[in-house]
Amino acid sequence: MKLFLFLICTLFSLVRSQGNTLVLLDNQVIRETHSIFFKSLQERGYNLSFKIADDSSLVLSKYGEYLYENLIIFAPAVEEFGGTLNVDTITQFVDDGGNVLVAGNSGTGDVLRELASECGFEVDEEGAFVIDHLNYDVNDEGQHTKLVITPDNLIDAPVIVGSRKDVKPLLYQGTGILADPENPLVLPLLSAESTAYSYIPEQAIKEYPHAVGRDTVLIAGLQARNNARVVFSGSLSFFSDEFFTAPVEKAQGGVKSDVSGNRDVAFAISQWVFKEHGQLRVRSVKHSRVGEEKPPSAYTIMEDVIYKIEIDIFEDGEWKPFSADDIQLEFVRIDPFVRTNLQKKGKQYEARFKIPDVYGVYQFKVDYDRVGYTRIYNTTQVSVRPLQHTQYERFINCAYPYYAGAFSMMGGLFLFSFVFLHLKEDEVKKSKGD
Amino acid sequence: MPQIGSVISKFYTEYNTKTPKKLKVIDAYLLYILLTGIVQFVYCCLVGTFPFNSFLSGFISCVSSFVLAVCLRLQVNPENKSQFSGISPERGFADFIFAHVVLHLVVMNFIG
Amino acid sequence: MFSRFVFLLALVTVYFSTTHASIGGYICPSDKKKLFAVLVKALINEEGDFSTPYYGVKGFKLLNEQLPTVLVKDNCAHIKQFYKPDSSPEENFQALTAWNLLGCTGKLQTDATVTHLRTILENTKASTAEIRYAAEALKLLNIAIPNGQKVAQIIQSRLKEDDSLQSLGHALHAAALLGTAGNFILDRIEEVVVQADEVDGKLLQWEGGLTTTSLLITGLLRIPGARPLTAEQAEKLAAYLLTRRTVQTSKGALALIEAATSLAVSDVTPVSISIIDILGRPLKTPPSPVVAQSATRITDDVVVLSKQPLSPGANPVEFVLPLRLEPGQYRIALSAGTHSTTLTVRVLGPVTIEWVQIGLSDADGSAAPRLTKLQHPSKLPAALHADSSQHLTLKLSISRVIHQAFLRLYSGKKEIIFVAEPDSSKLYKIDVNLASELAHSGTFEMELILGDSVMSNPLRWTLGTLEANLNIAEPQKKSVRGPKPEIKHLFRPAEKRPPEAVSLLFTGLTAAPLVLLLILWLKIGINFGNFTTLSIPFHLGFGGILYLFALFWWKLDMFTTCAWLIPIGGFTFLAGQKLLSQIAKQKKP
Repeated sequence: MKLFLFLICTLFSLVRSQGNTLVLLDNQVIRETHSIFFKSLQERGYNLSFKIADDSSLVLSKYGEYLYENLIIFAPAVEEFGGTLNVDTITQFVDDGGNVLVAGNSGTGDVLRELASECGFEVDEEGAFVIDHLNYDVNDEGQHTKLVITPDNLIDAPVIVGSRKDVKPLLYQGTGILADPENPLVLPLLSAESTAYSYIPEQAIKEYPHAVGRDTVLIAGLQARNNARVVFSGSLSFFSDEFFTAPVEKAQGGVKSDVSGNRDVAFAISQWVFKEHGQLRVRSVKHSRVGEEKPPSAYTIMEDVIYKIEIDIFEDGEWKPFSADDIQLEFVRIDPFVRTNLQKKGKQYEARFKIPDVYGVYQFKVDYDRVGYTRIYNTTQVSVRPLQHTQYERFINCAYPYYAGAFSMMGGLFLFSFVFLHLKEDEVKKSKGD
Repeated sequence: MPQIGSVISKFYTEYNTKTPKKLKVIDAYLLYILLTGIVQFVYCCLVGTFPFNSFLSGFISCVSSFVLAVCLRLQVNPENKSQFSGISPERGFADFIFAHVVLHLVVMNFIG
Repeated sequence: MFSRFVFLLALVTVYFSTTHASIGGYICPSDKKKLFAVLVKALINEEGDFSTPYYGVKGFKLLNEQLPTVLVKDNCAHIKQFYKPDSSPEENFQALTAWNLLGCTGKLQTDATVTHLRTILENTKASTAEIRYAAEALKLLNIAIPNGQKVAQIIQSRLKEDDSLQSLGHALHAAALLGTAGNFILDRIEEVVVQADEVDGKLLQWEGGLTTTSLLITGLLRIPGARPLTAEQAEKLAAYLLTRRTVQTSKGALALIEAATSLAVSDVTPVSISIIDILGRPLKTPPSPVVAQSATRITDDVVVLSKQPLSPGANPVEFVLPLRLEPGQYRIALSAGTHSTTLTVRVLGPVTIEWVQIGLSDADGSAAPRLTKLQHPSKLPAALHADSSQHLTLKLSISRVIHQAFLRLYSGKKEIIFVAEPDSSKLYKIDVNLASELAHSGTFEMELILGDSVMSNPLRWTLGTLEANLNIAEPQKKSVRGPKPEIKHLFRPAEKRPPEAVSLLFTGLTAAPLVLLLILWLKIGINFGNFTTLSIPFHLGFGGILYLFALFWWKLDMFTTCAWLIPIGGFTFLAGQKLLSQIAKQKKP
């Protein structure tokens, strides 16, 4: 019986697909010029629906349910989305948990600019490229807009862009993005060098460029508070077959490679944005007094408590136990009273501590928020009661005098009653006037 | 100064001769209770109020016993007979015992 | 000083003229190398059908490349193994063509083949694709197509039922093979061409992507005596083909090569013109005298040369135009025989920095700024010390106006960049108000970044160090998403207890007055004159109550104690009452 169930479960996990994805294009040529990228998505199990961006039959949801889990917009020049799609519905899609991958280029239209600003990115104006006169490729067409980006400009988060050490230099040609530095949810996935700037190449610089130096973001990412992910790339050609297979060489010398690293980084980013990587969940939470199995209805102050949690990460299509060494548990009653690291024991994380001597309603809180991973926020409410009147210390050494006093009183009373009752008064012989 | 000395000695002789034995017994009992209470209080002042409930319990036991014994002395004293017209000394003693039972139950509960 | 001798780039942007089509780019050697790689993969991975060897071999042949002999042998064997005379016309055609091109020994086809193919051609239910391939296969075998008129009729009736682009494409090919019997197809050409989609105003393609477009291009251009495409259409089709240079499948690669080849030999062939230096070489040749009609500088429309012929270079396809131009962008109008085009050319040249002056000045301009003159690449000898009332001033004199002249102040990972603007005399100036621009005090390195699209020596020049003392505190460190510090709850400390000896001493002291009591009573002279046996129950009961209370303290709880207290207390009450009434009675008389 168990074998049968096991087989059914494996079958389900094999059959499970990654999700429906709507791909919006400017024209069908883009589908062919980016065939390697789309083929890799289809091989990983995504069900891609290719549509032109101003197709009037576009819908994201029907009868209140979304038809797609992911949205790819490879349509930089789109003036207005067709059908029921517009910036509001796409933002609503993200609010409801959908993931979006957008690629622009120097001709990015206003609609995409508006969508980007909803997500916290500012895209440069139409006609602007990221220019770098010191880091351009030998095959650049003359304006120094085809840039060679070294992998150390990637964000230091292997779960998003893969390991930085093995990646070859990247090719980029497109517009520049500015990420709001105050926004804690925005991640600059790929930034430009200090010598780069974003401007219209033929125009002389009369005003401060939109983005300058390291602040120029080339690919920006966002993980919203509901864990939906959005990636905005300023270059559509970053994902093209041409850039995937092209050799890289800096015209000013110093960097050379037979093939660019665009393919590896693009695949890694697509795995992150569509939640194949970096997705965590809590499998179970258990807490009890040390030595017991079940949690009590209420804890008492100064008891030893043990808390166990299992966290899974989604890897290779299935949920596997997650391992990290910086997950913390907080025991909070408005403010945290106790904060301790969770130790990994087997598949679970465990923490032991002594409940504070302040009673009240507490929460076991695990709040794990790291770059690239979904945010785990799990709270369990417990009540902590003060000592029962029978749980206090008794027969205390330094109270012996008081015990002695009380018992002495009782003893003295008994003796007194005995003496008093049986006392015979002396006869009064003398008269009053003595 | 010498007046106080003579007053005290006169008081002492008067007390010894005039006071009935019963009352003297009660007075000795009162003295004993007083001393016990004082010792406990001094102890508390020295070492602090740590088991406060135990201190209160022991001390209140002494104080209440003292008060009850004083009440008994008043009721049993033949010179006060006119003030307790309806209550015989035996009745006073019975009340005394009853009050003590209640007192000691409470003290034992609170002393911890 | 301006450089006199300049380099020219291999190829930049190409603008179209109205006479003949010109395209930007061509299938260069590195593109061909990638296409070969795709085709070789097809020849190695065989899957039991003929399509992949066919694509691979035909592709190689069209590009005039030799196949390695081991691949030839393998593929011959493979085809021989799987060939069946009654396979579909397409498979037959592919197998026979591949056999032919590989030069395999022996004959692949049998009589059964021929009969099978002929039967297809007489079948009124055959699709245009089947008819086409059957006809092609027969042509390969040098067998005449029987009854061309009948075949033409079959095709026409087929087209009535199915006139999709695929079907039309195959019909075009089939009609081309029928000779005069195929003239009916001339009426359908217009219909085909009109269905092409224009993309972005630059590309032309048919729905269905590369394979359909290629099928239609080769089909249209195969029909003898027809002029199906205008030069503009051919140029846009070619532009589309060029975007597909990185095709990854062998079928697509062959489609691309076939379409490009047929366009190239047609009379509307798009022409790619390139100016050469040591780097590239063009695929297509400009036929006749090549003359540069004019060269105009783009920024101010000044004509710098006119009607200069190009001299032949080392190679029949090379033509050289020596240019002595100042750096900048130029528009050159070229004519090559009957073709003409306009090119944009970039002329690069180095920029010399004459001097840089950098230093501090006061905000209110009261004192003259103290500037230090520097030559590239020297640095300031000592650090500049600035406070909040001062400005940082930079003046730069260079040989010509450039796009990027930035001053970068950086400290660790943080950087601030300022833009220098030129005035009318090509002098660049920056004035930085330190108090308002810098976010915090500290030590900053100063770097000058100069770059331009026609500058051949972009540079970064470290100028020196700036120590800014601005009375602004270091900003708060932004919270990092990592583990927070551990908190251990501080428990209320236990109350101080006295040493045991003290407790025991006082226990003794507390018990002592009991002894004193006994002594006093003895001194008073107690007696038990009024002892009666009646008092015993009372004393027992009372003692029992007190003992119960002691037990209550020791181990009982209130409920048990009260439960016991009721009977004992009741008993004691009755006994006491009896006793006391007896005593009262005794007193009476």
